Amino acid sequence: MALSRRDFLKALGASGAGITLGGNAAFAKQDAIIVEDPRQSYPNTSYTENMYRGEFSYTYGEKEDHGTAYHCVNCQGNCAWDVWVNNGIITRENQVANYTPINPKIPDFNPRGCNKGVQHSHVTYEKDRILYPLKRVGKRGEGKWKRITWDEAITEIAQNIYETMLKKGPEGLFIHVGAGMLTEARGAAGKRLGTLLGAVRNYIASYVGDMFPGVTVVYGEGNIGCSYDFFYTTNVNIWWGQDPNKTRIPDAHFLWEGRYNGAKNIVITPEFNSTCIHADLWVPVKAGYDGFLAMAIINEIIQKKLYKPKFVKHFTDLPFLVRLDNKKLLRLEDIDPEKSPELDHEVFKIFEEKGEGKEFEPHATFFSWNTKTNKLTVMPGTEGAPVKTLRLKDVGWDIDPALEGEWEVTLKDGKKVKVTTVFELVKKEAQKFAAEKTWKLTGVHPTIVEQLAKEIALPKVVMISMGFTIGKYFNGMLAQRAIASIPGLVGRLGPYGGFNTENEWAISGMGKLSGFAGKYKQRFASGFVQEYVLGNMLKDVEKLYDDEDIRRATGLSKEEYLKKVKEDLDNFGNDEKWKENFHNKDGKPYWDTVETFLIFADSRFRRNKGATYREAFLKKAKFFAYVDWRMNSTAQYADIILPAKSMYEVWDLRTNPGYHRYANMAQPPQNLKPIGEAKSEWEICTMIVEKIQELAMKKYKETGDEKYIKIPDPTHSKTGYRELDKLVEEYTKGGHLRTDRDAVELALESVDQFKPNTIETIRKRGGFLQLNEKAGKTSPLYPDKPYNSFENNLYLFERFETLSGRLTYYVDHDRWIEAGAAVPTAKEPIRPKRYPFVLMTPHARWSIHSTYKESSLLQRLQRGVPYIMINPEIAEKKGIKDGDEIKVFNNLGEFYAMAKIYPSCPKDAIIIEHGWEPFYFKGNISHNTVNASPLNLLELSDAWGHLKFGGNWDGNQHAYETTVDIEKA
Amino acid sequence: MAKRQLAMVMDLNKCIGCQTCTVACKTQWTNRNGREYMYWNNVETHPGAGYPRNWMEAGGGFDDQGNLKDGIIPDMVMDYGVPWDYNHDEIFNSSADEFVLSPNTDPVWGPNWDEDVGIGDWPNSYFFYIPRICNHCSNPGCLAACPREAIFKREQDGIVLVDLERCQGYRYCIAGCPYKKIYFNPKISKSEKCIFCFPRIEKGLPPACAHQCVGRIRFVGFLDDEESQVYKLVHKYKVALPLRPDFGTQPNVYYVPPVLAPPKFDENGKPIENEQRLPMEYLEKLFGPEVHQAIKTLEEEMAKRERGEESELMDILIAYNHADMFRLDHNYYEKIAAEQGLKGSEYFKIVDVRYIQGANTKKVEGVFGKVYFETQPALKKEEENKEHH
Ligand code: SF4
Ligand code: SF4
Ligand code: SF4
Repeated sequence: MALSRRDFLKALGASGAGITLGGNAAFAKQDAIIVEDPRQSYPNTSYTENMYRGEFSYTYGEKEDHGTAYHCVNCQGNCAWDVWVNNGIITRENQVANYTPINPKIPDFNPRGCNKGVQHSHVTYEKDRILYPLKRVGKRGEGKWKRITWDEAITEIAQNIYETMLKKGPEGLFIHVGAGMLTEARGAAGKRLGTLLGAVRNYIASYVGDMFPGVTVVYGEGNIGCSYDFFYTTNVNIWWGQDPNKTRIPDAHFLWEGRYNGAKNIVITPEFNSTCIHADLWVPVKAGYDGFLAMAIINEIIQKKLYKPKFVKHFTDLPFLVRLDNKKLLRLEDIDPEKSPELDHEVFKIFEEKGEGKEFEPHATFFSWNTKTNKLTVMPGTEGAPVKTLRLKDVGWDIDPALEGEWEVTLKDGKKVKVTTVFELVKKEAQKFAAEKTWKLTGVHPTIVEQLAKEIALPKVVMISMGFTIGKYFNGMLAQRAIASIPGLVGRLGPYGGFNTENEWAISGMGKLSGFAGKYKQRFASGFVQEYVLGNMLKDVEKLYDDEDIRRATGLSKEEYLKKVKEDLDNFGNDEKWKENFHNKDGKPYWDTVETFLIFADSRFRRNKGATYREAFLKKAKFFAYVDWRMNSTAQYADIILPAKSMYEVWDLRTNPGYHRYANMAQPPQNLKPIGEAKSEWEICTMIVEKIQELAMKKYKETGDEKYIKIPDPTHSKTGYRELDKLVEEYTKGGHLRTDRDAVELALESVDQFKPNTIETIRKRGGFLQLNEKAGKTSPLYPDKPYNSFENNLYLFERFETLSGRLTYYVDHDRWIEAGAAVPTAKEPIRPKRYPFVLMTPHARWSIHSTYKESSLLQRLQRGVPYIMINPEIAEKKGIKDGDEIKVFNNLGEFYAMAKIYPSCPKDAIIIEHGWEPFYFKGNISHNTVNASPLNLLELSDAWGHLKFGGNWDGNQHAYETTVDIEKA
Repeated sequence: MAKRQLAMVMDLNKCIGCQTCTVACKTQWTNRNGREYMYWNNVETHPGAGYPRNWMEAGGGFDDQGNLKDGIIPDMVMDYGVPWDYNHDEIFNSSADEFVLSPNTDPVWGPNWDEDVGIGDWPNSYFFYIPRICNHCSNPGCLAACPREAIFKREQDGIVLVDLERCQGYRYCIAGCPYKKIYFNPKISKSEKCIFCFPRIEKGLPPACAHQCVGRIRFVGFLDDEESQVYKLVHKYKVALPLRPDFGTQPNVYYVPPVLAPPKFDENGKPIENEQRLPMEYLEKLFGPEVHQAIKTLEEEMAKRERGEESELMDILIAYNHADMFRLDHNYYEKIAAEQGLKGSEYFKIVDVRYIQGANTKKVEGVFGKVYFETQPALKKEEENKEHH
């Protein structure tokens, strides 16, 4: 317990200015043993020494009692901790620091763990810990709670779920596991429950704005890249929109060790952040103009012929032919393969023969112009080609596709059309963004663009790593895509580097925990449109952005834009529309039929943008139960709160993301004293299914009517029903999967990549296992080399999961053509020009989103209250001094925070790190109040090739698209 | 002088300012018993006021003649910062509209108040981090200032400790330490300071701040152990320098100075060649004139590596194996314990075998000569192969 300020002052007997003391003052040395020179020797040191030794022994406890853990929040670190415990109380944590080195010439991953993880022991016992099931007895948010028993709480939740199922069917339920619990074993409990009952849940990544849809456009998936030791082995690393020193704390050492090993680090961000300080080059791009800069680099690469033609021909769609009349890709369905005078019929036939029974899909088969034969030639490896390799030369064909040129092709109806290559169109588009032209917009001097193009193209290994901020701009998807388009031009895959967002390991078999072998389909809703469905975002968008803003960012008038957004939204909303339109029409799936909410570890009310979300959500929620280990701004408004165990009290397993090749296991310390009545999510969910089944069976027995145990579900259950009399059997796999420990054991048995391991072997090592060679998705995971994606594609000519089978530069979805976005391009930010400062809200060094924001230990290393970073020149103009309280405002609202004068902040922006709960601010109004999150129509588009709603193709909430003004409060 | 001296080297090019060290030390020692406001380990942004605020101007240390200089005791509120607490419990019984989670005292200064501030203006601002612990000086100002001779250096390893039996809480030591790394504990009315985690070291575990430093910037070992990295960095390559050597206390914590920084920009946003973001004068003020040679050596060795050549110095600083950053010489401590009649004592029982090599490590003959600690199979294999060829 800390002393209060007053106690301290009293104890010190001094305040105000420091007291001066003379260094040589003589003092009476009563009764003291004479010490000649305490630098040499000292008579009796044992009192002091033994006191500290005793303290250490106390914190360390007994090794056998220690637990192992990691932190399962939406932090991608995944670090193994040794949890120290004494007499059943957790005292502190120390990194395990025992990850096996993979190669004596590559730094190891020890001691993984950051400033936040190192104090979880402290917040475990903090006073905001939820200790007992609580029931709301006042109005929602009134702060009046009654402690109830577990049975009472579970009964009330089960009753509400059951009633909703009877009345509305599964589509009335919303069961969601939030970003506060991103682990495979633990997170699966709530997901399994939701899938079993047929409840709706939304994708987490898009909901928090951390998806990479623009990367999906190019690579077919968003989460690609390398383990972090790869950055040690490169020649150049580009950190785009990222601050690894702050947000990748356990891995940042690879950057600087890589620097010692000869690798350059280049950072591209608007602010001079903590990674820039030791970088070789910092590129101060203007907020929201990353896409323009990427296009300028693409232009430079093409104009200076720095691209690699041979690579581009094999691994990209750049040689594919595009019709000039309608800007559509030339497809097999456009021509008559029998009659076409331009077609190389021989190759076409060989493809048919080699297809092993597969036939051409005319809509997904594309062409190039073969310079060897001067003929129109069908390309292998596309989604619709019977031949799946990307090899351009094989038994029977030899294609050297033209990258440049214009030809005439005869269509089915005999009409002739001009065609050209994707490459030509990309080249033309990129020219619009030449460095000289975009310099004033991006703030990046042409000499830097020139240098960047060379640094990316010439060295042997170059890695471009892109952070989450890029996707948080309205046109961020296009910026992501433009940046992701660069490495493909210069031949970077696998060992040559390429592109990094977040690597993910294959862990086959984990589906057993959350799924039911395909029997039930999960009602996946979009995270992108959540604020529109459960909140009132459309209203805020209408209020914040004027016609000029929307025209600048979309090319459409405000009226047209809003009309299209509403049309897209209208394509979904319930089972019926889902059935009709899923993967058929633009828009994103959601269910506005939901009324009963069970939410785990998702502090959504601190995340939502605008000022009206909470009210709208609560109006929708007939019943709202919330499960977490600490009180937050979402729990404040719940009807029932359940106390979850926190990270050191549960069994759990975590593998992804693939920053390193270890899966960590959490095992609670032996003899840990229970903290309140907290339970694990697995126990909680088991209790809920038991109770629902009990209620249903009772009703069934009373009435004899099957409808009380058979809930119709024609769209998402193979049987057409949800059978409530089998819930427990199904949920627990016949009693084998009831607890968190059961889940860990099942995962260890089921996942191939974990083998051979048991709880005992993992514990012995310090709470982790090393993934075996099967964990690599698109490359082998070598025992002694860092991992990077796409080696299989590069060396084995395997196709990518895209429509073209290649890195994709052309999207001929009608809407994309209309928007001028068929090829990579960049568009202006939508943020209002009426206010002078962009509000940047980057990830913090001090919290994982909102988790740990309330830690007093960590707050004392910040400023104790929310603060806003302001450039000194701006502050002076506004008469603001460091430490002043300031008002931040626009026409959506206002909030208050402390000013911090920060020389590294650009002059056209202010920075507040994200994650602050509203209750940190005056009036419960946070920085999200002044923000709206407009929907990008391109992100809303669907039903084109690999751009179909799913884990890789949703949209992002846009956190960086507001401007504000500030004044001294 | 103490018989041997333990030392720590911190590489400022690798420090990311994450404060994992700070918090690790806090949960190990200072989250209790009147130590709450103390940061035995702190990390401060430079250029900046540091912690406690303006410590470099707060006096203490020795003048050219070797006389102790006057110093001040920093102010609790304005210089250290009061460790505020929060009304966490009130969230359970207040209306959400009214509840504000707030510190129980208005924060006006704290140990990391000017985090990332530094100097200059965008786009030409600059800052870097300096982690600081007690320097366990060879000529400690704190010790010299103590009228009761209650501060001593441990004979076996030079760790500087306050004898809590003797200390009367006069606080002359605080004024006398030019680094302000000794603190007054108001609860027990005695001074306390970083103890270099000697209870951990005696059991084979490196100091919390160093062991848990996730940036891998800290090396710990004995300065007379020629195989230790601290020896090589301090004596062989002379790239690790004490902070403010002009204070005259002869610190035993050393720093590899920052050499990495991106170019500044001219008014057109064009990078300017050959103009340092961070003025050399500032580094010279911090690390003395030796900093020029140290930076030159570092730059030369980095250039070697860029050309693909070998460099032992780079190998050391890269620190392939985290466990190799520490050489705690446990056999030596066992010997001391035996001499002090503490043999078999609980305090010296090894809890971790990974860091216990040192000058006194018994070398046992194995199949290929040496036997290595089982915990480092990768290293073992490499060495064996080398010897085999
Ligand atoms: S740094 Fe200060 S407290 Fe530590 S030994 Fe030196 S003078 Fe004493
Ligand atoms: S050596 Fe130990 S006591 Fe000293 S600062 Fe580091 S962690 Fe704290
Ligand atoms: S833990 Fe290491 S890298 Fe992080 S601030 Fe401390 S010394 Fe620097």
